[in-house]
Amino acid sequence: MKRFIIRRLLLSVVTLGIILILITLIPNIAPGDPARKIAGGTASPERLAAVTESLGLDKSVIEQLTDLVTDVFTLDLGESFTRPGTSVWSLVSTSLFNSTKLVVFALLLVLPVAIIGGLVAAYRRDTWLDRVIVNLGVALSSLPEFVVGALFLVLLAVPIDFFRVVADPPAGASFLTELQYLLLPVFTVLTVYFGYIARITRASTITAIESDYTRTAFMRGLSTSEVFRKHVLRNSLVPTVAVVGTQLGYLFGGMVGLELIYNYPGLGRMIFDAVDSADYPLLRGGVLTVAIIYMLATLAADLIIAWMNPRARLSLSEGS
Amino acid sequence: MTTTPENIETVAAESDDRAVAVATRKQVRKEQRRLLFRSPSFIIGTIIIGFWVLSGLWPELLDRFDPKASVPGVSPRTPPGDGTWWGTDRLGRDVYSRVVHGARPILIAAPAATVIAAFFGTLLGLFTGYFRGWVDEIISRILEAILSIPAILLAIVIVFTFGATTPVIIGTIGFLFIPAIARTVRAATLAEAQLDYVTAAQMRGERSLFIIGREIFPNIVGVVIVEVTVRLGYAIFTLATLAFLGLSGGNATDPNWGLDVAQNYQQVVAEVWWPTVFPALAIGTLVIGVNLMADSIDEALKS
Repeated sequence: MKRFIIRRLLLSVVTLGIILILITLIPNIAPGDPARKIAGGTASPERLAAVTESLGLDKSVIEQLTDLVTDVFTLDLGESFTRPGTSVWSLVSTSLFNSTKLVVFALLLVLPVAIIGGLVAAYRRDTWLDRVIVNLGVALSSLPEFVVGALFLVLLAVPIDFFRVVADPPAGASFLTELQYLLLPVFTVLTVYFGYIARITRASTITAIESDYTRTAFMRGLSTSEVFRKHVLRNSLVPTVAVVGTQLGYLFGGMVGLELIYNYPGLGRMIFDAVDSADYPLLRGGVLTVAIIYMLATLAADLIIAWMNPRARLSLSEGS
Repeated sequence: MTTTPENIETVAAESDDRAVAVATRKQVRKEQRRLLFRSPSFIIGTIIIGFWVLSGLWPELLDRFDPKASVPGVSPRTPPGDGTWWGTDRLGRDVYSRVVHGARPILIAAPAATVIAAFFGTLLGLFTGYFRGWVDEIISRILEAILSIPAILLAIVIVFTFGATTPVIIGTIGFLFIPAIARTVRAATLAEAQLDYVTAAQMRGERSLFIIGREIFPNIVGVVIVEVTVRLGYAIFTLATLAFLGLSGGNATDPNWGLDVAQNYQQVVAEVWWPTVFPALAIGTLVIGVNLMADSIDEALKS
């Protein structure tokens, strides 16, 4: 286990390094002068110079990269370009806090519902219930969140007063009011993710149910719930954990459409606004944050899997 | 090599075996196709996609008014029914005709991006999975790093940097989907490369290129097809979201589903729901159609 953890940590460091290189490279390989494109064709030379400097394009690529690395390790991501005097870190942390609220609430609803859905589908395999869960899962995956969000606005938010058209509660709202405002975005996440997670849980649960150790457990006279708790779940939830790990980065930073449609100040929207207003330092900070969240989430998922299933520890040493 | 009687016999037997193998493979394919064409998911998916392809090819055949001009005699924000099927938007344009015309841009861009990703992703996956070694290690780490940032975020950054034109959007999505396809193909290639027939080919002294292209690839074609159809769904997802964010690759007045939702959803609170709902449903049905097709192909190949 110790060797596994060390190897896995090294892997994360390598991934982070490559992400830093990619972030440095993008403005450098863009055609033409990205500074001019960002500042606009009619920008004054001073503004152009300021943009060039904020992009770091007046330095060599290597210098840009070392600057970025020191920035990351000192947690000093510079100042926002559109809001001078405000540090990128303070803007990022506010959005990160908002995104965390949304993601935690969403997962608290989505995970139990989807996992139970998958277990039920596997247990009642080939019944109508199974077919409904599987087909819903197929149909709804990769639906854009803004599409589902827009339909919920029309179907729920406008006719029913209880649901809110925006997700951001007024300042000083109580915890319950916050939950009320977040309800429709969370329903949207549930719609998009339910089928995906339920299907994966179903597939691995069926494999686990059909395996010899489960049959042995049943033959030893254990009850169904005991077999599920002690033998099936431990194995069948491994892929589910892995999927949640890989999707966490997306949940934090990829839901631009959802955050826009419900006017929610999360990380995705912050990054979109940063791009839209050509706030490069803020953009860099946002993308880095999302990448680091993904890195930590997949790391956590892999460690949990290794703890749940010792065989998984081997696969990394063999370089799967 | 001299031709001895035994030699002729083994050669003959080998070609016999090969003929049998080809025949059974053909039969399997035929059976898979039969299953596929009878699967309800595939039929529904085909009908949905067929309708949108028809709108994409000949929108003039299905539309009722000019999608970019206001409908004469009908005021803006007229609900569905009064002179139009799906109502008019805030500029008095016919929502139905805009939805019909909105199929073309997404039906060109999504398959184009998917083809780019499929080509390079498959090549990369085959080569890294077969040769492995340190090159594979490095490429896999880079792909992993790209996959660690949500594709939609990278797409926003790249499209903004390079300019929101249709070729840039297609190229960006094509590029961003390479890692996912490469990873799937690599895993399939790794598994195939362990099998005896590959070892046998290596023993015969076949060139690596031949083994990859003629031995391994035909056996993982199914995986590639399924992965590509799934990616097509995500390409539609990404394109629609980019358009929703204003990165459509066309003019702001051009009919475009994602853009139309973006321009109209704020009026939903004023009960003007039709200019939002119909383009949103168009995106939704197209994605669902592609998903159903992908799933039925997957099922047919697995059987």
